[in-house]
Amino acid sequence: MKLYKTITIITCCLSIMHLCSSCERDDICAEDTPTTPFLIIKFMDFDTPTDIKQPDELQVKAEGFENIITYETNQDSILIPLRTNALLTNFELTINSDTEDGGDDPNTDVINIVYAPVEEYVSSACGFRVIYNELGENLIPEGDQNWIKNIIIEEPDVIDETNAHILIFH
Amino acid sequence: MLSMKQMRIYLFFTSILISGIIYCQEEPNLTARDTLPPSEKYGLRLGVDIARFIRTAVNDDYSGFEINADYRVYKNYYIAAEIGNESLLRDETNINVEGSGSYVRLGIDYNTYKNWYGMQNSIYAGLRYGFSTFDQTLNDYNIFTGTDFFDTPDNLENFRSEGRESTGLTAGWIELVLGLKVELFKNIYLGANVSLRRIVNEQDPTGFENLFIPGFGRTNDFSEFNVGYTYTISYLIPFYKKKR
Repeated sequence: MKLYKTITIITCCLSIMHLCSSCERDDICAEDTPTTPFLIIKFMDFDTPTDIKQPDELQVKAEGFENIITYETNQDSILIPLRTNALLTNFELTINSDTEDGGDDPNTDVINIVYAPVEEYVSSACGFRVIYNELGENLIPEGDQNWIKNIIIEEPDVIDETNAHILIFH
Repeated sequence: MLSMKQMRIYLFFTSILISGIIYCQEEPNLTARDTLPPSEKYGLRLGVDIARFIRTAVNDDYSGFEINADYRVYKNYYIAAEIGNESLLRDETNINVEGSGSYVRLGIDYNTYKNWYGMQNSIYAGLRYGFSTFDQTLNDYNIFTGTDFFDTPDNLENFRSEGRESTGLTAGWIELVLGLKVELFKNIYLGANVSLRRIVNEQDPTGFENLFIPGFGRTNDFSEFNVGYTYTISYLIPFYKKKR
């Protein structure tokens, strides 16, 4: 009888362990995992290059894509995504985008951001990420119509979101 | 001179001492003489894992089988081995990967169960080293960006469908096994065990990692450990019998 008692106990233990191992922890990509970084652009004052200067009513759109980011409140830094399966992303940056407030007319400048994307494995939950090396920029000139006066690459490798990668002077 | 009372006490203790000595001399000779024939079976036990058959039948993403064997070398000690082949498709949110290959585990089992005469059941603890050679194919994956800013109806910016195959991967692990085997019919055993496994050596594909190791199981992002289980049905080929 002792054997059968032991067998019953062990079988119970086994089935409990079995149940525990079958309800595995969900593989969800944790919020704080470093995945594909956004590009951080910081806006500076062209006349006093050490001062930040918030652009008015800024709107950001990627050329060829529908989505528009509108900044309701003026900010000195913005985080924007870069394309992961292309070597460049062209952005249309518009200031004074609000046409109903009777202020200045909207002014759109186009900048090309070029880079070398590199895929990196993160984890089974997050999959892969892309980091962007050898960052480059090009402002499409519009004579004296450009609101952007100068662009400086501050961090040529976009691997995290701690510092601004690009400074725009206006 | 001893008083009468002292004399009685003296006699009392002397009698105890003497009776003790006499008792010792009379201790019966109880050396047991075993007249029963040898009953402990020694031989090769061969079996299959039923759990893997069932999992193969019910789970479309899995297929596998395992053959196990043990050989009783001395009293409660058994040499144990398992060989098998497995493949698993993991369809995660951001990754779709399939691993497949073969494995072998080698080690010992120690039976802790004291059987009654003629019974051959076991409740055992064991130790194994497992080794696997396998291939892994990354079918498709996502670049995790946290945004769908560049997604259009006919182009998902972050989806990659070009596969990547890695062959000739290897991994090794150690495992602790706890289980039991019960003789249901003559020489036919039903067994169950659980094991705790830990990776000791592993060759990862370049720029990626092993998400399924045959014989070890799924790997995860937060530890080197894994648990496994088998339900076995096995047959003992008895070679000889010995006394306990």
